[in-house]
Order: sequence, then C-alpha cells, then structure tokens
Amino acid sequence: MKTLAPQWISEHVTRAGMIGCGVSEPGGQCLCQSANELVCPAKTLELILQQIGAAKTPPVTADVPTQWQTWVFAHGKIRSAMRPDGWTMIAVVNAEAVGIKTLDALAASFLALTPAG
Amino acid sequence: MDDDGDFLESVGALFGALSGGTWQIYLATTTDRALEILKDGQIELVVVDIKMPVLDGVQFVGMIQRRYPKIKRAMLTAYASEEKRTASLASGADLFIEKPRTSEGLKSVFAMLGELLQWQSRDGFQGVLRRVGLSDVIQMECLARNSSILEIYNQHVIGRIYIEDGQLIHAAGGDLTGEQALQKLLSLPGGSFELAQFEAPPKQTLSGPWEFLLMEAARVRDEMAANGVPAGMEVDPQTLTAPIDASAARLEETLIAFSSGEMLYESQCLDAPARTTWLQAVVEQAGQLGGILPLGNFDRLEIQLAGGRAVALARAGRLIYVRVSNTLGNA
Repeated sequence: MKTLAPQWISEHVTRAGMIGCGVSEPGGQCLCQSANELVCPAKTLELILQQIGAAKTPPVTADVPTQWQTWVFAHGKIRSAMRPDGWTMIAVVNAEAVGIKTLDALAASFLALTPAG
Repeated sequence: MDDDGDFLESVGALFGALSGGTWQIYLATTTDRALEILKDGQIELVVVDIKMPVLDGVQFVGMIQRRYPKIKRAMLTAYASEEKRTASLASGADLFIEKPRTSEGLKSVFAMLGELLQWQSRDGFQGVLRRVGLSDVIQMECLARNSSILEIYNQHVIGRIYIEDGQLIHAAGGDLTGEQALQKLLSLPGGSFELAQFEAPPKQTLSGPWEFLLMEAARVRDEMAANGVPAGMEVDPQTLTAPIDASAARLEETLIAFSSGEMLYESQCLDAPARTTWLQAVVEQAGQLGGILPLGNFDRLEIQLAGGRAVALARAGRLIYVRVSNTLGNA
C-alpha cells in the first residue's frame, strides 16, 4: 500500500471539483495532496484525516460493516473510507461539482487497491 | 398604468406577444382612464407606475385594494428605494418591481407577473426557496406532525407536496407524481412556495419515512448537479441513480431526539441511548471539521453500510438518525 497510495492520490486529486485527498496508514502517518494549496493546504487535509480517524464508530457496525461515510456541508463534502487493513482515505470535494456516484467510484477504487505480494 | 405613453405601448406589445395573445392588455396613461377600465373590464392584475401626476401610484394601489380586493397589484418604478418599496407593499402592492432597461429585463417582469396571476390568496405563509430551503420546511412540518400542502412555483413548474400528520403522502409536479415529483420539486434552483391548508390528495403516491424520502431526494439532486442536468427539467432519475423504490428498502431504525439527548421518538433501535450519544458526537465532530476547513453549515452524515445505509441529521434542535437496509440488495 505504501507504493500504491501516492499513485492513487495523484490519479484522483486532479479530478474536477476535488479540493484535496489523502490517505493514512494504520499507524496514523498521513500522505495528503491538495488540488489548490491556497484553498486547502495539505496540512489542513492531514488535520481532517486525523479528525475523521478519531471519530466515533457509528453504533451500527457490530454486524453491519461501514463501507464509507460522507460528511455533507453546504459548500463541500468529505468522503472517507477505511480498508480492512486499516488504511483510510479522505476526499474533500466541492459540493456542487461532485456527485455521489463520483465519490462512490472514488471510494471503491481505494477499497479495491490490491498491494502486490 | 404609466404616464409615459411610449413605454406603455412598447411594454403592452411585448407582453401581448410573450403571452401568445392570452393576456388581454389595457393601457392607461392617467388614473381616470385606469379607473374607467377597472369599472368596465374583468381585470385580474394591475401594474402601476409609482410616479403619476395628481394621484401617485401608491395611493392608487391603496384605492384599488379597497375597491377591488381580488385584483392583484404590482408596482413599477424607475428609481427603486427601500422607502418606496415599504410604502408600496404597505399600500397593498403584491409585487414591487424596478423598471427594467432591457428587453430581457422586461421578459423577467413578464414572468413575475405571470406567477403573480397564479397566486391564490389563502391562509398560511409564503417563502422563497433561496432563503428557506424547501427541505427545511418539509422537515419542520413533519417533525411537528402537521398536515399541510406545500405549493411550489417557479416559471415552469407548479407542484404540490402533501403532508399528513407529519408524513409525506403525495407529491405532484408537472407530469410526475410520487418520488420523481418530490425529487424534481426539491431540485428546483429557486421559486416560491406557499404552505396551504391540508386537503386530501387525489391519490397517495408516497410511502415510507419522510427522512428516507428526503435523503433520496438529496442524493438525486446531488447527482443532477454533478451531471450538469438543469434542475427542474424532466429527467429520469433512473439515469442518475439506482431506481428508488421505497418498498425495496426496509426501515431498520429511526430515532429522533432533542439535541440535549432527550428522546422524542425511536423505533427498533437496539440501543437508543448509544445512538443518541453518537449523534451528539457527530454534531460535535462536524463542528470540529468545519473549524478545520470552512465548508459551510453541516447538513448530514451519510453512511454506506454493507446492505444498507444510514443518515444522521441535526435540524432545528433535533437529532435524527435513520437506517435502512436493501431488502433486494446484498444485506
């Protein structure tokens, strides 16, 4: 995953409507890339990633695993997804420019990453 | 009515053409002539210039309101000000419009007057979608378990959403009914609405929890925005998202609580206190995320589960949690 994650980020951060995206390792180390450092620096994305990681698990996960979450705000959305191996992704997008289907595809591509070996 | 005869002639011709001849337009350059027309004809709407000699437009509109209360009244002025606006509306004007200087502006005035003609006086209140979200009004009505009809207008669509005892029971807009109509109406970029007294709809086309219906409508609206579909257009939601069939989703849990944690309603919650605590944490978390990156007001948290989904909302001092499972899916 350490080699796949940067590639995944660089492939998706240039999508239309993307503010920035990032991933965190199970140990908490983050790798983030902003689409526009003036709007949302990578450091801010790291803080968001840490905040999402610290969020309480929804009380439905005992027998119903969470695939992904979307925090919907007036001007933006934050999609997060956590892999079974503990890697977590976030994508911060413009609310008007990026729809649910795009976010679903984004999260699905992250969850489907298959580390070699 | 306008003392500028040239302006009057050109506007009369344009509105006549825009209405396709369905509007019968009478022109008056004096209040005397206008009163004669009002006596003789079955006038539905008067459009009055404020700056008129002898009897100004504000007084004239006040007089019309007293003599002909059913006639709708619009006021035009070349120099709009807050004082004129206040005086016009206080005198009984339904609309206060600044005189446009372009033909496009006149077309907008024509559209506004067209809407005004469709208004019906009734008890209740009116709002503008840009200021108060339609979803917010529906939620308030549902949370209060009210019965009402939300009538929605814009230039192209007239729609109605029926709420009975806090449940969405019917929606109609254009040729659509049910969830498609609800989604279309909630995707309108602007317009106006009236909350009208409830009366039974011709049929019931909506079922299931209102939270779920609104959540699905929000999803479709997001998809329309992302796909560049003009809001209000006839669209097949199936091309934007999975077919929405309330009967294909099973409601697993519903919880509504005050922000303080006090329970208002819960259904099938395995551990309602735990969910309430979690909802409070979601609100706090949203505040912290908003503090990191200013994305505007928090609207909701959507959670995609294996075989279902859940949504957490915080509205009007209430915490709302709904979880549904796909009975035809991979639950």
